[in-house]
Amino acid sequence: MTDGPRQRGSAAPSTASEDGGAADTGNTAGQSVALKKEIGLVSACGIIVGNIIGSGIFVSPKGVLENASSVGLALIVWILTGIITAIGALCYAELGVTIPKSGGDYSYVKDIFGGLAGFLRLWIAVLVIYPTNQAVIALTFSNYVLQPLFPTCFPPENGLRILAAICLLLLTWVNCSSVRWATRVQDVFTAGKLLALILIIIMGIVQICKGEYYWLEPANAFEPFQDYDVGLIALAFLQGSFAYGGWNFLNYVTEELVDPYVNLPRAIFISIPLVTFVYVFANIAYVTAMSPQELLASNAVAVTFGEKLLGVMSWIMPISVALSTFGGVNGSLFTSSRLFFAGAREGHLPSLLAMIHVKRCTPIPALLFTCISTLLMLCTSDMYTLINYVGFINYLFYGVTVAGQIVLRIKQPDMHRPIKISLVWPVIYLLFWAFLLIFSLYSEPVVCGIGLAIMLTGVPVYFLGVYWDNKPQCFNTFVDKMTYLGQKFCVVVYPMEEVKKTDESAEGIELKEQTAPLSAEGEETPKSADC
Amino acid sequence: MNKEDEMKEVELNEMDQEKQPMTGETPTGTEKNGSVKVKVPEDAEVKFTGLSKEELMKVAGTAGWVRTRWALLVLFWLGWVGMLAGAIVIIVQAPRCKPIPEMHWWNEGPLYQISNLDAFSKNGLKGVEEKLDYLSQMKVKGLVLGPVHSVQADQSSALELTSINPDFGSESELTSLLDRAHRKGISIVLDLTPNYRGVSSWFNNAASVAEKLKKACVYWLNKGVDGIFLSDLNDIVNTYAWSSIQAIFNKTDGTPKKALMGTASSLSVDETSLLLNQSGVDLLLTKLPYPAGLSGRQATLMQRLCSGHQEASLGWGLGQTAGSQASRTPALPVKLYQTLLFALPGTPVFSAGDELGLKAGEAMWEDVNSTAEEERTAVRNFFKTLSDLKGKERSLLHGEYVNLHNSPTSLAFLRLWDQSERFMVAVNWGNDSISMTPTNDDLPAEARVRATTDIEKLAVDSKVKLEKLELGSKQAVLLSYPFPG
Repeated sequence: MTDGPRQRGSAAPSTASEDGGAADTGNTAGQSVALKKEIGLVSACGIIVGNIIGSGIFVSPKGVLENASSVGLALIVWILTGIITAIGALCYAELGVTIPKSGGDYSYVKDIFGGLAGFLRLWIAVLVIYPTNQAVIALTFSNYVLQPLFPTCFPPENGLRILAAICLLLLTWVNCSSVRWATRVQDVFTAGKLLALILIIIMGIVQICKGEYYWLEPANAFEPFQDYDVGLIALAFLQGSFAYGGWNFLNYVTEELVDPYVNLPRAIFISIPLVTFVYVFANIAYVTAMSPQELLASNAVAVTFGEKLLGVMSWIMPISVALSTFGGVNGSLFTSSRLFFAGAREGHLPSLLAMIHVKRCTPIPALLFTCISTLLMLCTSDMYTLINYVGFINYLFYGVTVAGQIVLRIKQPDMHRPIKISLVWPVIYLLFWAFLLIFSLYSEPVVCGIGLAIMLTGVPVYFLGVYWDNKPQCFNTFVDKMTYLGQKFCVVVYPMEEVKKTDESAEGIELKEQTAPLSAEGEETPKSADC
Repeated sequence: MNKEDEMKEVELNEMDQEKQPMTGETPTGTEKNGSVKVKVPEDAEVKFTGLSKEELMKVAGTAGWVRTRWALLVLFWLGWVGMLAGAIVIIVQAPRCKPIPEMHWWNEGPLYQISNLDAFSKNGLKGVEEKLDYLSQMKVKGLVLGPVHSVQADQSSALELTSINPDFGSESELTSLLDRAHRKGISIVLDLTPNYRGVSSWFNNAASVAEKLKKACVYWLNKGVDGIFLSDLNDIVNTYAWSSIQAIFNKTDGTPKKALMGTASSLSVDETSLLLNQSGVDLLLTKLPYPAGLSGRQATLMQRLCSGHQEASLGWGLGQTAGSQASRTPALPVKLYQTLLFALPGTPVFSAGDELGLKAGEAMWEDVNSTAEEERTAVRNFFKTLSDLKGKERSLLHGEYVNLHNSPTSLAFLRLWDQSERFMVAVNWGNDSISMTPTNDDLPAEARVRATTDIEKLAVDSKVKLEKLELGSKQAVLLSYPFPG
């Protein structure tokens, strides 16, 4: 309510100062409306597919097969994991249109369960999950880039880390320079990984036509090479889930979807079955070229597969995996900045981290913070241990978020829900989630416990930094000065437009408000719209 | 210079325009700020968004800040290029991978010898097929079967090397076994020792059966068998026909290499070494005395062979007589031998039951009391641990052999390869405890226990000081330490 008068006050002078205001306003309004909704159905599918398919499919098959104990069951695990992923995505879809905010599950957890729960999610993600994920992916990139040079031994450790840092810094710069460049990088590398997978599948089909399908016959496919074990099967599902990670990224950009109520579920029903299909057939292809024993003996399934079938051209596979991981780092940087914005907007993070460049519209402070924390991770040798700890917490919050959907139905049944799904689906998802969670706790109690402990370190930070209202004046002054300094270094300001978007009643004024900055700056419309 | 001036003018103009609205807003803004503070204190805090765009452009657009940002950008790129150059230098200077020696299927893991099919399974060849999963789980790479051909003791005229004795099964059963085993990555070697039921393996006249042997080799290899095994190799190697028999196995038609394997008994060190060079066999199996215990001579034999020959041709097994389970009365724990066999350069060759520590008179699949069952399971798990390590660690697969310590009752040596993890083995088959002081250029202060027969004193994964390694009576330990960059 208090925003209304202020906006009117600021709009009036601009109008008065321009004689041709009416005509300009009309044209600009039209362009703004069109440019805000940039993500159509095809782009939405591209976002989901691009974020799900990563290095997982080139590495996880070994883990899934090892724990599933037979080829047939491994394929079933891949299919079931795809189905569960689709169910989870549907639950997130309803939340996405019911709570139309950036930040994904952080926003949902905060709105449904309160500030502390949301903060803990943000804390673990910002401090550990994003940095460790990016560091691991960057190191994987380094490993595969150097694989042709060091085929049978380990590359020098320092070389690996420096190369990973180089990759990270380059992508950070790209993301700081231009939103458009960042999305182009994503598109190019998504195409690269899809080509690699298509190549694998085609080679698999060729093998089947040659009669190499012994392990696909029902009698042989379900012949276990070790006894079935429920705990191991649960681990197989976890491994599969890792490969499907990234399915919830569309929730970070729901606001930018064209006709979200229709395209969001459509994108989900097109993309996730497509990914599942690709994954299952990639595994089928692997099995046509390698016996389960060979597959289990390989540390990089796709590379071994390439060596067997591609001959002289076997270098294609390690390069493809490297490109895939390169795109993965870029995608992670892209999404982390939106989480920072959401957190800062809610007061859970310093507001500087939500600011974007005046002209480039890129979240420079957030990107720099992520880059620095990831570089710190690259300097430590406990990174893999750490990612094991917090992987559990990351999975924990998927269930918390889906449970939140049920809670929201109970608490606010009359809430506007453009997309409404049956409660059967979140229940199914939660049963599956509980199954994996219990087995994780049972098999790795210490690891899970440490993960929880790391998350809980956020509790005192929350009460000191967020909950405590009457901070000393000197503290506030210090924070203000640091914010001003950061702004001057990076030339960033708080993105006012996004705040106003949340107020639907002020839409008309919003359009007028956007006119003044545009005409005053004399900038091209598309760039501003990227904000 | 001109462009910069123009840009500055543009910026100044923009500022001028921006000032007017701000002036107009001032009174209104003041009032609203006051009302906001009164009504919702928290909102005031939430609304803090630092400098506004206009305020920021005033300050950030000045020459000082612009210059600072450009300097930071230049520093960033200099650092980035420096890191790239550093990475390239590190990678170029790093030593290349040491070329891996040629590996064949019998070099990649243990072989499992089933000499007495009746003892292994009542179903003969079919029974072996039924146990392939069991063997696969132990990372077995090849089976040495038989002999299973038809022959009557000491009657060379009754020798039929291409026929399978009905007591053991049929040729179709062997074909089925071959197909199934190959699917699981297990190769099959047939033992074609002619007179396996008689006094002399070669009827005291190897030349008389050489032609039959040659034809049989061709026959079975064409059937898909992966190799041929011959006992008392020294008898046949000296015949004129040997070179043509050997030639059958040297074909290079792209398929996995067929293996010619053999063993010889009661040879001296020099005789064994000479035989290995002379015969050109792919694998020569040397049997260690079991259960009597190793002698100083045996230890010397091992060291000489390990130092003087490519490990791809070496095989190590147990027992004086091949497959003679009846005489098995363990005086030494079988785990000690397992440790030694998996750690020596070359291929470990185990007889059926060695992985369980089978005792005299015991049957493979018979139900036993719970105590014996636990004991068997422990021995088998130990076997699997070593088998996994052998298959994964390059140092154990094809690393160099470095002798560290030896005495008539004990032995210690090192296996190392390129930059891979190093492995050290210490074995004490004497009746007294010993204290070793192994010395080598790159030995660290301590090493990690990977496998041990003495769980109490040397727990798995614990650290052990190397300057004074104490080993109890009849104990063995496998240690590892990382490559000392």
